[in-house]
Amino acid sequence: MLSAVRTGGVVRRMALGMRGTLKTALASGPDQESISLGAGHVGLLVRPEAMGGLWPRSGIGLRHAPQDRRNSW
Amino acid sequence: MTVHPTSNPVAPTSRWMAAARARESERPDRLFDDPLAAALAGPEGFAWLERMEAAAQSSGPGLYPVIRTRFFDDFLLKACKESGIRQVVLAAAGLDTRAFRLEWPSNTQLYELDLPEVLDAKDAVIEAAGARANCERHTVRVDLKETDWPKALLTAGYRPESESVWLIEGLLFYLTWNDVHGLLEKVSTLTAVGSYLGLDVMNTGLFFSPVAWPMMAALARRGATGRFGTNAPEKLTAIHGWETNVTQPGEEGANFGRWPRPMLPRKIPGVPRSFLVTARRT
Repeated sequence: MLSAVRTGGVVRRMALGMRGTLKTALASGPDQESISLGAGHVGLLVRPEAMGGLWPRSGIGLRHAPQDRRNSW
Repeated sequence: MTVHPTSNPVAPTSRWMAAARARESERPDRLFDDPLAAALAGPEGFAWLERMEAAAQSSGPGLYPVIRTRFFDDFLLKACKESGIRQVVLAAAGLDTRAFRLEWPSNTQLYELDLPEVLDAKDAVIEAAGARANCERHTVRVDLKETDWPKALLTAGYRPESESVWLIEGLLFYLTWNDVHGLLEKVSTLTAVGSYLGLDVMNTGLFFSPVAWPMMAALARRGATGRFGTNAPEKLTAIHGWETNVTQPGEEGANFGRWPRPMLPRKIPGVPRSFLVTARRT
């Protein structure tokens, strides 16, 4: 579950718990409005079982859990 | 067509984009006509398009490239026809065919920058089709993540002291923050005041959205991991010396009667977004 992490709209640190064992910083951009994934984060994206932990469909743990598809491509 | 092996997993996304353009070209209400796109896409491109639309559970992976293509078609032609610019640079050109399908003013010099294997594959299709460019087309085989690519562009005849229009389409999403800014810094050093720049970029909401994650995962599994997003494209370009306008697909100027849903204002946080950016060098 996504456990914490946006402060004032800025992604400063994202602690991830996957099956209660894996915790890592996801990403943060050097500026306050950006995100940049490093090599260590790619493994999280390619593991389907990890995705539920990254972005829980329930939205639990997300301050802004956008379920709205209007802007999504 | 021979599909050249590539060491860069992002390169196959250019076939996906070509497939989207090919499908659009078959519509009676098409926003552009790209007769080379189907051959450029090949079976791999159409497979990518289908997989991405299935992952996204929407037509977005096909529609977004179409809206973006027409938006930047108009942008590039306007820069050339209204400002007298005769240098066009397509960074990470991929399988783009604007050199062939747009009506450029006479003496337009168009530079396509991309990996050797991408441009080789494109040229093989173009040659087989007997297509002829509507401009002076220059292919520059470079890796934009390397440091010395500007030298190859200059060698190809590009003149940095003259105004130009640049397009960085479908690339920044796949780069890291450092590579994004490294690229924009180089572009800025190569452009005269009054030059134009177009690019597209995603926001951070795309990386945290449960709506978007199947698509993000599908891309990552194929080696084309989305890495970069920003909520402030105006600042992204401003720090490199550009005055910027930002349009979201679906908004005025980027709708074309085709975007299916109303747009949410940018002040609403957390929503996945894409930005079509146009800028002028100051």
